[in-house]
Amino acid sequence: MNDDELMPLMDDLLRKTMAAPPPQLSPAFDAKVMAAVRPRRLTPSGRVAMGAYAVAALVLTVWTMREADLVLIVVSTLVTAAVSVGLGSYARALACRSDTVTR
Amino acid sequence: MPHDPGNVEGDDLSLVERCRKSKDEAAFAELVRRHRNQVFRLAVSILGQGFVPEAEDVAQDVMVRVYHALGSFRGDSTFGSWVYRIAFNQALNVKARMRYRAPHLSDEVLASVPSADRGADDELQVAQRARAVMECTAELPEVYQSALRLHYWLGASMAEIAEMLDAPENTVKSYLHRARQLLRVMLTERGFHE
Repeated sequence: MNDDELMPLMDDLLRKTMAAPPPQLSPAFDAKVMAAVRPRRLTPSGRVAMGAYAVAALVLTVWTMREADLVLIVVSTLVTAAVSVGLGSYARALACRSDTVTR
Repeated sequence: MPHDPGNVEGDDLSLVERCRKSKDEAAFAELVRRHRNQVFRLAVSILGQGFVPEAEDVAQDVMVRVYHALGSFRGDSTFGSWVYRIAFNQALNVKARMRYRAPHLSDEVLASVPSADRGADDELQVAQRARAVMECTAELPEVYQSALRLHYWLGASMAEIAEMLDAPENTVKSYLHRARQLLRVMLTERGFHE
């Protein structure tokens, strides 16, 4: 048999082999995507808790460093700010990734 | 191409603009609705039968990536082509990561279990050949595998495959022809003759 005669046989074989019904997306697909792209906001109680934590941390820091050298205060503030920004963006990236793998 | 590019692309572009300017959720939801099935079919055609849940994860991941990357869409190609390119690359990345994972038990595997209706020998031979076809298909170049599954399993038209693989229809036809030729050679080497 030449190539032209064999190709319809291969065509037929592939049709039979891949005869399973095509898969469908789950009905919740759109909702999952929209939930993953929607910006997340804290609940009111979460906002209160975060605010209270921030105030307490600030008061404690000021009290702890009340007699420290000004240079030390400036350096520690800069280091803390840089670490916070880095950790914050890393946490956001992690949260985004977990959204897409959670089924 | 299956639809009127001027009309549909105009609509897609205006939706993209709405997403960019005002983070319009409804506009993005409409873009997802329009392209989700093609993205999913493309992903499942690359990952293969037995990896449907993973393909849905890829489709979801692609849509989220598209949302965050809308600002970098310059409009050089159609929005659909841009999305399908992201989907193709993402599916390939996922496939590379799960190369050694076994597929889920699928309908076609269950369907190939010998039944009492046919002779057990016939049934076994059909099942062995089907298995050989699946294994040989998985050894083809990625774009050939994808074209084969889109055409034979997912029932996509030439125009749809051309759009998803971002290639002219004649190129897709040559992918399919070449894939069938390669498969025939591989099956012959394994002792399966016409």
